[in-house]
Amino acid sequence: MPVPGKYLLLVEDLSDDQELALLALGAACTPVPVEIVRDGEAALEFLLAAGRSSARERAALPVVVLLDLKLPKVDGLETLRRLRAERRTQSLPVVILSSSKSDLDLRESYRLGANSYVRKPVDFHEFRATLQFIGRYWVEVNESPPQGWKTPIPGTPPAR
Amino acid sequence: MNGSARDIASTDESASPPAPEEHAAQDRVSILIVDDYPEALLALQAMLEGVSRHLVLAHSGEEALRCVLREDFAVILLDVLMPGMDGFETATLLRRRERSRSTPIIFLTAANRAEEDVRRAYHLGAVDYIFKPVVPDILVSKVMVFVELARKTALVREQVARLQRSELDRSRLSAIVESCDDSIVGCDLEGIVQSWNAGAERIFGYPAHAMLDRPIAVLVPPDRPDDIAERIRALRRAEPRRTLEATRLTADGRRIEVSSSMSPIRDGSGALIGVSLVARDITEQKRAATALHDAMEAAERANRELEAFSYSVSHDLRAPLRAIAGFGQTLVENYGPRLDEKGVHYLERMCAASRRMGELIDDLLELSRLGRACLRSEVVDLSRIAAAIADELRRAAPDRTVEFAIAPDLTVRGDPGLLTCLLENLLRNAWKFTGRHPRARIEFGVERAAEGPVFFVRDDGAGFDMAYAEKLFAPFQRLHGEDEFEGTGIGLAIVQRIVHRHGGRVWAQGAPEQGAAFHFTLG
Repeated sequence: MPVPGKYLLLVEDLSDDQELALLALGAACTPVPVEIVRDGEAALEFLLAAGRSSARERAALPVVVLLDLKLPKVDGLETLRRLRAERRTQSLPVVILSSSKSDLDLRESYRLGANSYVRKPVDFHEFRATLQFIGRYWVEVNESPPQGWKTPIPGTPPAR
Repeated sequence: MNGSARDIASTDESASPPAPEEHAAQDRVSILIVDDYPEALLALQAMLEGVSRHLVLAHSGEEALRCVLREDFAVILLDVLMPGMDGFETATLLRRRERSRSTPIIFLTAANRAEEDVRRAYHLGAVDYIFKPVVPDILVSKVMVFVELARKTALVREQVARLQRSELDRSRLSAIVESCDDSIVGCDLEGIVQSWNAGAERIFGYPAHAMLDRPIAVLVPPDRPDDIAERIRALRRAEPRRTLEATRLTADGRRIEVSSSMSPIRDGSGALIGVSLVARDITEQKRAATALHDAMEAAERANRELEAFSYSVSHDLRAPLRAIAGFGQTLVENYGPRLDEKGVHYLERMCAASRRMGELIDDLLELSRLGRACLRSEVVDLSRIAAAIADELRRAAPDRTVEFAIAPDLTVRGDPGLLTCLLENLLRNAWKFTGRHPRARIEFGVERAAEGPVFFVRDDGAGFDMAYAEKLFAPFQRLHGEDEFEGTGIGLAIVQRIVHRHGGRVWAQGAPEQGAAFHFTLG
């Protein structure tokens, strides 16, 4: 049974990886609708313009964004930085889904406010299990923050 | 009077502080007074006290001769009439002595014997005579002449000695300047060359005659600011001096780099009259430094490119692999029933191959990372690490019978992460290649050698043919079929890289089915 209103946003440029992700998530016990965009610019357009455009006014944000790092146009880290700079997406859960093993990517992702960093396994069994696990966690287990809620900087007094 | 000669003044010549020339000479003026009558001695002493502070009294000719052995006198007052050795005898002997050969002697003689004595006295080389009883004024004025003479003589002697000394200093200094490899050039305040040493000729190519009285500025390339003139101006303004690097033009038009310092030359009154320029040719040094800098930049660039390459390998090579593995697996799962057994087998082979390629990529990246990672230097307990790895291996395969013999307390200085990786690879290798034997023994120990400790990991497993020992450490080289022993063939390449990064060496010994031993040092 699909969970109503809840969906994942996958930001992935490789059609192979898109399809594998759909295969993996589609085979889950609780299938989750997945929206796909091909690059960072499209992701920002989707997540930010959605709030301003009258056509898709106040469309719900995805429960989680699965963000690849190596993307055409606007790359993953830049996309993340811009999402964190916007009130609407400041606390939107973002999981980095990357092939990179580089320490620098890992550090930068967390510095810019990623919620999680997952390395794409080559082996399909693992890949499928990983994606299903992520989907299940963010859709069924995790409670999303209220939309548009501004994440306070830890240690500062609450805003009035 | 106790009958012995004694010094009235206790001035010790050698200990006297360096005084202005006049005083130094004056202090050295001594007068010897010889008379057998103590009363006469005392009287003479009293008369002459104002003339010299250093009066020596002798009561006999013999004593006088002894005094003359000890020191020089400006003048000797010698009584003619003395018992034993008389004045004339004494004078004769005095004249034979080197030290007193030309010391002025004034005879003291009784007036009634004047004619006879004076004749003899002059014959013996006396310079004057005084009649007894002595008239103080006459005595003082006569003695004074000789004292003055002695003073002047001492002064002249001193100045001659000083001149000789400074001449020696000068030639010593000029020998140093001439033999110096550095260029040492003296200039006046207009920058006109006054002196030019051999080092300057060697460095700049101009002989001294070509540069003397010419402006030093010819050494400054026309397209450069004249740092020498600027520094002479700075020196005149009493600004602090500093050594700087500058470009110079040589006689044959080459440009060279020098390290140059400038010092003031002052006259006796302290006025600045010129400058001394010391320069050292550092062209080669600079070239080497530049070459080193370039090489380091190139290495850094290569490293960055390698980093980018690794990143791209890691990311881009993996994506198609994931696709092959993913779609292959999906094909097996979703369409397996429609394929026959052989078809499924082929698909599974494809999936296994893609998994393996993933591992190869990971190992390759690991190898390249090892070459670049920063090396830490800590005390590392190799024995403890080996024991932990052995435990882990035993736990993973409890059915195997393998005896580990790990020497205790083997500690080294090195990078803990890399050394763990090193032991892990060697011990896992040993574990793997003893896998076909029902019982096995794996040993980690050390041998003491001239080059320092040589560590080893030895097993009694499959071993290898020494003919291929060289190939063992090359990446992806395998001496066994993959069906026989699994692995990517990168382990020993990693071992070698870690050992090399610690400045050590690694080598292997073995024989087929008789085990293998891997030896390594850590710098």
